[in-house]
Amino acid sequence: MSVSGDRANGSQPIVQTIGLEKLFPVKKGVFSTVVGHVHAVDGVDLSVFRGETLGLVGESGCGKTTVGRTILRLAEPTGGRIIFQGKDITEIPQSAVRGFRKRMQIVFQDPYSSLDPRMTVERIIGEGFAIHGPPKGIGDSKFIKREKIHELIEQVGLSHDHLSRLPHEFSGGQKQRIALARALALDPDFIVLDEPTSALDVSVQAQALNLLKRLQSKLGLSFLFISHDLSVIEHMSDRIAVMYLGKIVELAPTREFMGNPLHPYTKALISSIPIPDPLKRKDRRGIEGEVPSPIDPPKGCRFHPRCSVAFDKCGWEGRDLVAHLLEVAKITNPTHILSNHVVGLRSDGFAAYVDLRSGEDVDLVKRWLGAYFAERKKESSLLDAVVAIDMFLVDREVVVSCDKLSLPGTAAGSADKGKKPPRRKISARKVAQEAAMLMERVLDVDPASRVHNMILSIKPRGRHVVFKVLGPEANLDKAVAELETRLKFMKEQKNPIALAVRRVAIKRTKGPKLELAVKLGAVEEPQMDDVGNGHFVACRLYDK
Amino acid sequence: MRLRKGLNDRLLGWKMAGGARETIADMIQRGSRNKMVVIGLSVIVVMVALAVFAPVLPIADPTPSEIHPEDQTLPPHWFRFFGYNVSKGDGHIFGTDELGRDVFSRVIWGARVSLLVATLAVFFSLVIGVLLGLTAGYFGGKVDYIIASTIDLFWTFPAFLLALAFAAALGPSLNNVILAISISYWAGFARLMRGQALAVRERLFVEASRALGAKNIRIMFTHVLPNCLAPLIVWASIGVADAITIESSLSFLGVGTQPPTPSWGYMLYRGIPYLEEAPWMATFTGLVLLLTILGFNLLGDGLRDVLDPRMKGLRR
Amino acid sequence: MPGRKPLLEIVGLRTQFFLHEGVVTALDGIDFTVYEKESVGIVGETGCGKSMTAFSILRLVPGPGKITAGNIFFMEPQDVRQRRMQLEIEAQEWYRRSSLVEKKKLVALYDYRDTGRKKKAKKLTPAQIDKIVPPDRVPTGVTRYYLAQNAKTMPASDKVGRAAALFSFDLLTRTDDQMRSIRGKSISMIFQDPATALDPVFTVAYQLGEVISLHQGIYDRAVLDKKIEEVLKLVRIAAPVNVMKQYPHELSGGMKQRVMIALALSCSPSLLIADEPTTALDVTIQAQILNLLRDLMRTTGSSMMLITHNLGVVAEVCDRICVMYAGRIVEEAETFELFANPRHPYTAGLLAAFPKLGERKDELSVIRGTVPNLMRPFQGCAFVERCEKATEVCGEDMPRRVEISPGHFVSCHLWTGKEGPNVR
Repeated sequence: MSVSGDRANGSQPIVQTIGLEKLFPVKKGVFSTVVGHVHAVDGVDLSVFRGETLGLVGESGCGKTTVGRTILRLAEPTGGRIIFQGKDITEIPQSAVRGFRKRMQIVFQDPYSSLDPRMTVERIIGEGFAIHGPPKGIGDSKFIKREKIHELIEQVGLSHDHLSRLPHEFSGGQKQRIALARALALDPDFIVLDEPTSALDVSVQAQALNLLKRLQSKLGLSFLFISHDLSVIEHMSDRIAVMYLGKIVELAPTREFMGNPLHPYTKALISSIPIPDPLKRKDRRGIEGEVPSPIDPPKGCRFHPRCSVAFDKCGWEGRDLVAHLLEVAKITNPTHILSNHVVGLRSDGFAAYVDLRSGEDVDLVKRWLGAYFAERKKESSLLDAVVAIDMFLVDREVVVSCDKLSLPGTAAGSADKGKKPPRRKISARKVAQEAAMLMERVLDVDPASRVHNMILSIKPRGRHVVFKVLGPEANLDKAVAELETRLKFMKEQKNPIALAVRRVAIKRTKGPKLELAVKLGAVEEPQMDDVGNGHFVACRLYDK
Repeated sequence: MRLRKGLNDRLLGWKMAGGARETIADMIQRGSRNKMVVIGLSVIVVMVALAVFAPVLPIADPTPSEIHPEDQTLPPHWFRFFGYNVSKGDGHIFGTDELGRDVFSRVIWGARVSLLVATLAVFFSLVIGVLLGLTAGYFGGKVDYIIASTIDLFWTFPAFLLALAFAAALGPSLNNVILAISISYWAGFARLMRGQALAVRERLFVEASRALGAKNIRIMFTHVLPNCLAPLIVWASIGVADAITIESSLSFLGVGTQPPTPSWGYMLYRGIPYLEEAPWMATFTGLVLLLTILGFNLLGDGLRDVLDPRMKGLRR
Repeated sequence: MPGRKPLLEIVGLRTQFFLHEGVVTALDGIDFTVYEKESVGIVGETGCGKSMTAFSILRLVPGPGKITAGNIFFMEPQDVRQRRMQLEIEAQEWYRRSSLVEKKKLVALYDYRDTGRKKKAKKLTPAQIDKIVPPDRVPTGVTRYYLAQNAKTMPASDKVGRAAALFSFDLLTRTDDQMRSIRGKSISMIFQDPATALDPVFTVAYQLGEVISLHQGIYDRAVLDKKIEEVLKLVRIAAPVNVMKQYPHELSGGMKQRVMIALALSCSPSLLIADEPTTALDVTIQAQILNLLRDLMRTTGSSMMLITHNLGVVAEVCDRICVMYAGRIVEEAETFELFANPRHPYTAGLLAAFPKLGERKDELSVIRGTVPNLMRPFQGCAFVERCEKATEVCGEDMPRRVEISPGHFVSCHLWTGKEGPNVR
């Protein structure tokens, strides 16, 4: 089946994920309080079409394995939808998932651990029949089962006399064949191949890859091929998706992908691969730095701290600026002119805060930083992203209180059609989290907002949302006014979150401290844009 | 040192890749090479054979209905080498006790009781322990929290004290001794099983089975349990030794098996006052007890060596 | 290779593991040389003995393993080397001339000394003799025996003593104490998994300081700290002072590997053995580390032995490559030569089986079968069962190592007797 042609003919994807999300809570302390989440998979849209191989490539910890496991419901998704052959299987109970398991299978990376060491090969391959009943056919069920197992073992290139042996008697490549036979036993339509050849030697890997390709064309299987090795992915896939920190950053048909990689990360990935040809040896610099923590992924484009072509709209954050001021400008070095005035630096989202020794230093530091940013603007896109430097009143904040919310339920899956779905109840705490995200979008990111570039942070705190605003006290009033207009508008639009907002007020807290704050331009994450030829990329460079 | 550690990891990996992993046949073969296993097993086989065939063996009645005063505390006839007057001691190789009963015969009949109690007690605690430990380890979460807390509660007390308390509360009888030991001993097995299950649960073949649509019960009993058997066998073997000790101690303290049923603990208890004038009464009972316990412990230790993958293939 | 000084010369190295199930020959007569200021790549699949080569060099063969034959000459002065080689040629001549009865006696004695297994001298067949002592390469033990035999004019012990002095550059004759001072100082090693190779309970500074003070005798805290900072800067760690205070678990994988490299380079070793240094790392980090290693080799003037299964990695970094298969080196050549003209069927097969970026094919060519069991002794070539071009002779005779063009060695019957025109 050709790759790109069929898509236009409206062929149905066999598996589709919409905004798939899997967060792992990070717990700490005696009471295991959740202090954050690992964003393993953070809004992934993928579809695998019938008979195709979709390659999913990325570095370790980017969430590619979790995508595979979540699609099979081996890990429960925390958000988004999984649609398998037109049915939403996101929320159906595990007992119903078992039925689907016949039709989608997985082959794991480590053949040494994926076969039960105490079972014979025959039992391993036949386990599916032990669970779902013997294969269909006429005659004695034991006989049919035996026949089927023989057929399977031959299909993967092993022989009958291997059936009575135990896994440890096989080499890695043979074990992976056995695992494949087990996955094929129930005649699945879709198989997730999770790094199936990473543990194998090159000569054996080639055998395994050829076998996979042969079986695919013979049985009409669809594969999601997950690997960190782009060379293998390129060889196997019809389309390739690149994943970075829980997000898909680029997706394209293989030929287009290799010929015209667009995302800077993809380019770096391709250039990082050592090529077994010394004539092509080049002094490639690859990319600097390492993958940031998925617990607190960078805002804006997740790749921006390592990106060589990042510009001011890529989502530079306070922490990037703090790192720059400490490591490049070195303003806390004893020899630096500001070292007597600055106590410390901290960051929060798109803002960086400068702790001053006394309130009188505000102007001096502000002037120095202003001059520094203006001067270096051209060299560094980070400094170009600075939109405002101003004093910051630590003791003033805007507090928005939220109510709990009850929404009419949505029909989940195809399970119970007749019944009216129950109403979904959302706690005030959860509403506050949603409201914070909403307000960030309308007040901070939206350039039409009157307080655009003035908001330092918007954070949920319990059942409230708390804003910090840059500049003199008047700015706080402006922010409140702007928020109220926006809320009014949204309430008219029947936005449920806006309806749950109760009260907006300016609150004074203790401590007459004054700080200096630097605000960087807030941006949203780049979305996947279609650039033609079935090529999608999530990068601001290709914004329309 | 650091270098060494990395090295051993590598070597193990290299060996795995080289296909030098175990089959059950290998294990038996290596077991037969292990001296501890061989000695321990021989002792146990002899003891079990004697206990099983006690009724048909040509030995004296351990609980004769009449007491012959002239037979009381006769030394074994070979005690003449130690200067005892053995004019009458004929045929009693371990001598007779204060009621004139043959000690040898009583020791063998005692083995019957001790082995029966110990094996049954270990069996019951194994069943309880495995079921609870497997459930806790496999499911995790709240189930695990509750079971693990219970295990810890039982684990805090020494098994013997717990058994003593239960035996005293339940009243002395053979069944109650078995019950008391089972109740006090299961926590060890549960703990072990839980730990093993926690580790095996993470292995990929468990997930592969789940991906095939297997239910939890199936995974627990066809995948997790068989892969935890090795350490359980080792522990069970050592556990039998422990159970024998506990049983004897309970009988010694008078809350175990009740006379006239011959029991090692009770025999020891009765032998203590006669330690000077008739040392054979306590000594031989004690020696046989020691030998049996040693047998099971040797077997357990030996099996641990045989089943431990780190020892594989190394010449000793 | 005239003009270049050999740093490490391995001759006929054999390492075996004595298991209950049988004897595993992990290394079966390895020969190769590492010259000064060059990086040699050792490529092969799992279990081919590439890591065992490294462990043998450091004399760290674990467990039931033993080095049973061969020599590892390290940092041998040129004149000593010449004298030794001359002596070996003499011994070789003498050995060839000696009668079969003499040979039998000699070989039985030699075999006993090296393997610890007694053989009946009379029962040895000529084929067995040739296997134990290949006629074209007489082992050191025989050389010594020759010296002792021919010491007619002077006391035998003296001659042997002189020979011993000549062979004292053999790492296998060093005492354990001497070896300890060589490891980490003259030869150091980087492991595949930096996570297990660093001690989790000590800071980076402590671990680096330990090595530096041990081998260089620096104990002054301030000097030591300065030195540590320098070493960390060398491996391009951006904030060395911060990293020094951290524990290994606080560092990322790439950072740990940088620290490992710093640890290995802290005493400016003459030879750095890197065992799969990037296998546990992501491609982007791998590229960084490979760049770093390549630049460091250039600037420090050390030699490097890079062990890997990844042909791409050696193509990027190494000057010369040895391809290993089943405990033997099957092909050795300069990097460009090897990739342009792979002569051994295994090398060619390996190159073809590697999926190359941007060269998509429908089917990858494969090497059929799997790696053989090393417990089985090989009569002939170890690759015979998987080789498409195998002939009868391949199963019977072990192929000789042939230099088919300058610096390009192949052990394959397809090439025996086809020595290159310009060779020697």
